[in-house]
Amino acid sequence: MNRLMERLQTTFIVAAKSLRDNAACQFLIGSIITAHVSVLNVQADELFYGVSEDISNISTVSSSKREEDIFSAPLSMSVVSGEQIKRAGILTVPEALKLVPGVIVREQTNGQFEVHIRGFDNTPTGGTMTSLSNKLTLVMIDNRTVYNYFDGGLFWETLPVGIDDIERIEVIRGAASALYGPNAVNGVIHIITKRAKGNPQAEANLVAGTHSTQKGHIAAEQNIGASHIRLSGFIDQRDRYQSTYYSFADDEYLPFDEINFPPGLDVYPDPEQAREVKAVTLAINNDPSEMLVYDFSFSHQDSRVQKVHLNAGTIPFTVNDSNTDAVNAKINYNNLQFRVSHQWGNQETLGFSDFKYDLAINQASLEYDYRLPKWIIRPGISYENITYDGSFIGGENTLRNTGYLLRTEYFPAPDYRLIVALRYDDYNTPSDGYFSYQVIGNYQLRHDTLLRASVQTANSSPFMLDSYLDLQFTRPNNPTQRLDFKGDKEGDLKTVTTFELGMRHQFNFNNWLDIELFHSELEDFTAVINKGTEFDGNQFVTTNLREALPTEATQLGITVDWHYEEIDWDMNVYLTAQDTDVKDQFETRSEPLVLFDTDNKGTPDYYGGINTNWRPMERWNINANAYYMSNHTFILEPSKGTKKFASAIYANFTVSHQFNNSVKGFVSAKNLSNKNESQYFYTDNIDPLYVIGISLKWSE
Amino acid sequence: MEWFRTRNAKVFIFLLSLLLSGLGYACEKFQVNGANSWFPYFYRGELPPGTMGNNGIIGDIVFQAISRIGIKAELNNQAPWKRILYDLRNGKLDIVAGALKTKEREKIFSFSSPVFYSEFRIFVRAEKQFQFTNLEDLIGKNGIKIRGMSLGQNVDNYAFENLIIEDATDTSSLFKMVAAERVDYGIFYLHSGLSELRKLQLDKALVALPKPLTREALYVAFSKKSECQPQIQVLSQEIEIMKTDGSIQKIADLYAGSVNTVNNKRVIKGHE
Repeated sequence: MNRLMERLQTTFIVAAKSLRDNAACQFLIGSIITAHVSVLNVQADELFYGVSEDISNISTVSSSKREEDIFSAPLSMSVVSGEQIKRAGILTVPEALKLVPGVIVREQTNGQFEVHIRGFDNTPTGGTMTSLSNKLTLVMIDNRTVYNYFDGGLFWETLPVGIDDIERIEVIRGAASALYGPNAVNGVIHIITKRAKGNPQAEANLVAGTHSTQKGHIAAEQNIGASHIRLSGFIDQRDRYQSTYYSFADDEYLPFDEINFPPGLDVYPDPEQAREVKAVTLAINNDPSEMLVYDFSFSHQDSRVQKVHLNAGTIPFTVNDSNTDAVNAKINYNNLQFRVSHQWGNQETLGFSDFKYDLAINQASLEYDYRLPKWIIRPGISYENITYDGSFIGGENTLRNTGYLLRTEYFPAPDYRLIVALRYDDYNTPSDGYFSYQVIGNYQLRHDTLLRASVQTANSSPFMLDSYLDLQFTRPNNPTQRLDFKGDKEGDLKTVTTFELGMRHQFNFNNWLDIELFHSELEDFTAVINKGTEFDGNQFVTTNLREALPTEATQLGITVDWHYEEIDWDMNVYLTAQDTDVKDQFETRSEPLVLFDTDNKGTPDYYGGINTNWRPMERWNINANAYYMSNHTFILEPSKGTKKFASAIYANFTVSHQFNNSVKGFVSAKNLSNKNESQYFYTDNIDPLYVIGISLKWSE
Repeated sequence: MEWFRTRNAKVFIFLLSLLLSGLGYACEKFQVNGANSWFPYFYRGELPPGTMGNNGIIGDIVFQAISRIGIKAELNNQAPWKRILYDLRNGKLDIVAGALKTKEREKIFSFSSPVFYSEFRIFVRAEKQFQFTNLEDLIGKNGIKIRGMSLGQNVDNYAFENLIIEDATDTSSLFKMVAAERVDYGIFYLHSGLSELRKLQLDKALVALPKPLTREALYVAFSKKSECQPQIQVLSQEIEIMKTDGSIQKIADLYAGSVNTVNNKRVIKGHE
């Protein structure tokens, strides 16, 4: 408790300091106070609440691990439905996340994205190319964690989910390890896929567009006895937005054949192609109302993409191959929930012979809901066994974790709700266990106003490279030099503590507002530090060891999310404003370390969007959406340098028409922008993309 | 007597029409709407088998009453319930056929007298019926209701303190979970529930316990901003006449056929 009080005290000191130092924050806090005051003065009409004869269209979310009305959800969260995605002409999961408040989405090339929740990206600055990627967000498909445990983060192209397979995506902002497990550090992206429900049906979705963009998707649903079966598959092929690459050596974009690739790195089989992704999923489930509920799925994906991954040294892009299979089984017996999954396959970065590995990820969890009047208690246990086999990590290595979960939900009065979730993770490496918690209080101030407050902690999991990195790399062009890299099995895991205040208010039945004020503290950084170079008799050996750093990062921000709906049109406007600071940022990762405090420039201070739909007449829908990021700067290690991103807005327009019950078509214009410069570290300039699509559906 | 009242009303309407047309005032037709799917009270589309009506009991009452006073009516498009009430408040709609009455609503709408009653009943598996005389009989049992559905202040308060009631997102899930023994009982409107059970082919497996959990009067709601206020007065009177001349009973009987087929043998007759 003392520690909690100290944290709270520190939080408010930091908040006060930020207020003092930052005019934007002053404006921000002023705005939220004004918004709160004005909101509380609104006399919302009680006419529409409390009594409703209409019981249809109840929107539900499961962010707190229990299905409930989104208005009552205790966490900072948003939902984007499959229908919203289709109306906006969206083609990939990361693109759909542009419709979600508090999410930073950057496109590297056609269809290849990097996604962050609230930032903390490129923190601390001065790392390698991979330091720009997101390693702090947990992504799940139907409760199965999909994660890159090799070096953290997610390979988005490896999701075996077509955009037409998505039922909805739930995004939780803030630390959520206690409910969801390790790596839910900045939040959770949970993709819930479609399941067969009723009559047999089949559908085909075809899309074609500029830059050789081609997508095909098919799905068929059939019932066999009490089981519902859904088989779906898709293929997504695209070319890059440009044929040139940025050359670090030349500091300019050059045609592929004019770039000097060092030996072993000239593995770009098709420099024009951005991605080729194929996947198939088979799902079998029964009615979720039954006493015994089952949901089995098998998926396979095969992908080759160009993206920013390793420190290629010559150009930002590498070509990554991934071939994985996964089975996921969920079995519920009344209030007992059991899940087990197994994923296996191999992944490779072409040209990096050491970065080729086989993987096997096994997960299992068991949870039980025990209900009493005013109480819901949910104890649980989870187990992970993650094995990677690759030369980067000196052969086969395993990460194991047993997690113990206790979640309690208590309703002291009808208007109050208190959730306490505790979790203890026992890893094989590091040997220290990690404790995370979420304490969340909800107060229904009025029938139309919900206030929320929470304190939450989360930690990342160990990654293979962090723990088992074991590489001796002799420079091919200079055999007298050798670089040694060593991980640290006992290295600290990144930990974040998030404090949040939130409010949801319905001005009227068609007009509601969600505001969240957040402060996060990120600590327990580790980095590979250059310890110096020595001559071992044969070679000059530069030793690089993973070590703990005193670096800490803090973030103070606000997200405002406003929805307005009419019968024939709707609008959603959302904006996040945040300030990120780093304490003990290093100058370079070479000893002796020179540390200093700084504002983090790698995360935009402002980002958000607008999404509107207009139905001018029956069967027609016109969607206009736009996404905005303010200026920020990518700062990498000195050999790579920096790159500024000037604030830009990207607009997308989609017109869709339902020709009849079986045929629907759409046309989209995407990435219409005032600045089409690269959104990442010297990746492709973002071109407009024009696509046309048709959906065919048959049902009994 | 009824003939006298009907005739008086028609004369009144005629005179009123003359007066209003002289003032340049026009109420060409009533704009009517109701809940999207609230069988048997208000309903759209194809009605369940064994049902003879058109738009549910209260929908048919309203349209018949409007027809009897010689005014046209337009059934508006399906819309979210809150939108319907919003339009009624602003005068875009004149009538909502079937609504509960609350103090807040009375400030903004005018209401007919009760035209029908809706009962919340406890649905259980046929072989697992239990004695239900008061709320204490539900202690220790697991129940389910539709999320967000209020059972009335007293029942809500008691349930919060003493009962375990889960939420279902739709009627189908609610009854299936009762049938699958996931819960001991489900709470739902009697007639809507019986209709849903037939649709799910669970009408043999589940029954409604005889004692209602709560009983709510249903009304026709009128806009106070309607341009048809005089006609609304007449319509309201016509509905009163229909209560006494047996018209409402006849309409209810059109729906009673479907309700009677279930094992509870319940006939709709609760109106005043």
